[in-house]
Amino acid sequence: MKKSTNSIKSQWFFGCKKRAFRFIMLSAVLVFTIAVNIVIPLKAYSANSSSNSKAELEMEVNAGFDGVAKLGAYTP
Amino acid sequence: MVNKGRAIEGEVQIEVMIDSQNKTVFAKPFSLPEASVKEFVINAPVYTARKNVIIKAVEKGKVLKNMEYKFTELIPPDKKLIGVLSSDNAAYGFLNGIKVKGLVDSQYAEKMNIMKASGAYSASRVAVSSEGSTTVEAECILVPVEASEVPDDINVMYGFDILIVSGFDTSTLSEKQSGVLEKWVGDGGTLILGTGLDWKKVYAPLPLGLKKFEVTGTKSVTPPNELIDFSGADFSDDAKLDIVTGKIGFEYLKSTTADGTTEAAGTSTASKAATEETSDAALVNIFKNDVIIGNAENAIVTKYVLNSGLIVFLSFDPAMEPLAGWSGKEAFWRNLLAQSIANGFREEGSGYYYVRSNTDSAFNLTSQVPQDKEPPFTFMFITIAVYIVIIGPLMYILLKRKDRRDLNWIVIPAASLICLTFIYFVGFSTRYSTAVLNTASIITLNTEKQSMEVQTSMGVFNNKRGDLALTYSNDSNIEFDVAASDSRTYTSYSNGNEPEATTVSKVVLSEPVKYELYDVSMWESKNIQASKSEAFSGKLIESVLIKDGKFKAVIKNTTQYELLDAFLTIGSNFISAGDILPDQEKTIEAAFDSQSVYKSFQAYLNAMYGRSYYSSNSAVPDDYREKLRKRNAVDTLLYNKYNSIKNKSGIGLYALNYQDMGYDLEINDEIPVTYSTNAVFYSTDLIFEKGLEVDIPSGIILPQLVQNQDNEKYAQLDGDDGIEIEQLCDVDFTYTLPENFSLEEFSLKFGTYLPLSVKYRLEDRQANNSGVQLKLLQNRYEYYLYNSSNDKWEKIESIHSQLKEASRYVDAKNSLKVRIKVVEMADRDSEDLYKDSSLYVQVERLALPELQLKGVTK
Repeated sequence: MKKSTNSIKSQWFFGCKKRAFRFIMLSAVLVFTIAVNIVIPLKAYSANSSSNSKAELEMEVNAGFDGVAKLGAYTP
Repeated sequence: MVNKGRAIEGEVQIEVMIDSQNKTVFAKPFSLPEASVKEFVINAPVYTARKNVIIKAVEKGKVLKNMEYKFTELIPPDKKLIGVLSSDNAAYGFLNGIKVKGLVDSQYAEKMNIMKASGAYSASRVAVSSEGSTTVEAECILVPVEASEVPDDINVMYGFDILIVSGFDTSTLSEKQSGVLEKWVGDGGTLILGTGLDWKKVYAPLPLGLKKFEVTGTKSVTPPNELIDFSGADFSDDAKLDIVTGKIGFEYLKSTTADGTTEAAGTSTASKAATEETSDAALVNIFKNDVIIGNAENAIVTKYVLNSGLIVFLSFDPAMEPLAGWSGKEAFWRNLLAQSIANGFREEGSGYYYVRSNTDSAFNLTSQVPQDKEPPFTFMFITIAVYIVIIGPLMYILLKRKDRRDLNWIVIPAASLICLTFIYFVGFSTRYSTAVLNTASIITLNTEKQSMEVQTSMGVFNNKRGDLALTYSNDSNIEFDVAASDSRTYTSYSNGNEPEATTVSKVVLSEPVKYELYDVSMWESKNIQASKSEAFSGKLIESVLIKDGKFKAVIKNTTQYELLDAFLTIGSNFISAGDILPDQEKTIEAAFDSQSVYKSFQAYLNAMYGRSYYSSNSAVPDDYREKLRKRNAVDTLLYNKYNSIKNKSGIGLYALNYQDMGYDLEINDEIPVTYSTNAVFYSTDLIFEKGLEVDIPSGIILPQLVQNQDNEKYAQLDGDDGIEIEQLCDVDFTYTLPENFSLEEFSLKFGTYLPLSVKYRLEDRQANNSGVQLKLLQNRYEYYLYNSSNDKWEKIESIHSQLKEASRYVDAKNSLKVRIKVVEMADRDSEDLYKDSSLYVQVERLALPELQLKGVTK
């Protein structure tokens, strides 16, 4: 009995189902590779974008009335 | 912000130091397309004297740009900030640095002195005058303002003490800017309006509330002598002044000077000002409508009081000739500005914080949430008792019978677990699953404006420890103090550095506004305020009749609010009116001498809701907690309203209400559990029909205590009830009679009383020990009535009726004066009094004398 069970299992993995197993494994690797190939360039593009089209922000600040403000009060 | 790169979605942040250890962040979200330029305005407070401010542009938590801005000057709060809005701002340049005399709170001045002594700043000179009152010579800083710079945020406007407007087209101001200007004046600002030939441009477009002077035309005159006296400098001979003419709009009363001579108020102030010996008395009394220069017919400078602020109407344009080149212009402005009121600031630790003058806050009410979610204590008690019976005797007997006492190891923990789970689930329903909002509002009905002004104080309670986020619409008029803190200390290291500040809150200025508070304790009340205005038509009190010592009023509730526990006041008479639902009409009748008419606020509250305090051995009324809550609500929300009308011979209608005021406020992105306690207030003048004989019972015209040097220390007001006498002295009272009232006869009644608190204490003591007796110590008094026709005090009895020549006792100001002379004090220090422990020794107090009138309305 034990032997036969083993044989079924081995059949499942390495018998006639072996091809199916390989197919599944291959598809998984393929999907993974495609996914990695999509994500990595995206990341690479993103990294590239932040260095190339970086947020180049300049600020000019004016506060109070020509720099004059009163303590304790709100000021623009 | 100039974006030279990719599109950015982020926020601008300004870090504001609240004190030396805490900071808050003001943030404004922005969206900047690629290669674009945008301007953002954020109004933020300056609390500490540090000149540096950090400004950041942040995108998704990442700082894109960090900048430090340095203010060129931070003005200490005791300097006055004058804004100038004029076509020729340069004409006012001389006002920059001008020094103005004014009165300040002496305690505040003392603090300032200490700061100056330590070299913190040396802006102004504080001179302490006689009798502890203090005058301060404050320096003025001039800020020229363009039309676009006129604040549309009231908080920014509060920074100005004075705003001068002349030769400027006020129609160019936006509706929001005009509204802010009006509110700012009402809250304590001083608006100086220069008019002259340009009056149509300056004056006409202003909001109605700011236009107290009615302009009828213009004319060219020789500069009046009063103006020359006021400033101490003459004009050239051919000088002509273009002025507006018109009506001042108030009754201009002449004031009496110290030497008894009568002269116009304006001239009196002017002569004092010209000599630059401005006395404290002149300054103290500046908060009234007055003609500063000129008279009622030819008013050159007129001053109006608008709530807590002032409007100074100049009938000329001070930036035009002959004033622009006049040698007396500096003295003129110095004397004029001396009559402006400074805004209030408080100083704590290392910061300065603006104090609003008209906030009616009721945070003591909102900090206590009504307890309607009490766990079912009886049920829990029974459950625990059943549990004890099961776990103890029952289990013991059962298991012993079966001889399986070893099962105790399992049965006892299992029974405990079941019982705990049961109690937990029963109590679970009483837990708050969301934050709680507790509001207390005062709804003031204004017949003139046909509006209901709602002032709301709110307590926000977080149902968890950690961050608290409030979200509300920009239009909901919600205000909070980002600097609110229970304790504030100033910390600095020996090397002068300050510790790294923690961010305690963040205000995101978007629509809706988000106010986040970090690291908030569970159930800690956070205070915010809100206000709104609703339409109201008609009048609540339809008619009033006072006849033969009886009172009758018809009340019709034309509001959408239920008037619960309503009551009326007329003078010091309190009459309960019960509940009046919307659209309901009710007639209230009472005799003034009946038991149901209470004679003071405390007596009324005690009768309706019970006392505020009971000693441990006295019987507490049923439902005491709920009654006390109502009592506190009436006391906190309505006492000030009563005080505002009690001396004005008006009728007040007061009520409680529990309807939701409908502020759409979300807490932690959820609608909170809301509790609302509101108080409704309505008042109307007591108008007597012309030509009819009127009988005014006692308790309607109330006396005012005249404080003088003699009685100041020895006669203290005891709430609304009377006077506490400490030593021999004269106590004077003044009654102001109704306008246009011809007095025919009157009667006076003097008496003494024991305060309610003393009565209660005696009752409590007697309940404990029946042998206790009251030992009342009585003083001896003499009573006088002032005869204004011969300027003599006439001695009268404690009950006095003046049936003839009553008008001889009424002076030019339409008032009647009485005096109580304390001629002998009861011996309070005798040791014998306190030997007998069964004696409860108390000194009687002097009741306010009661005046009853009869006369005809002219």
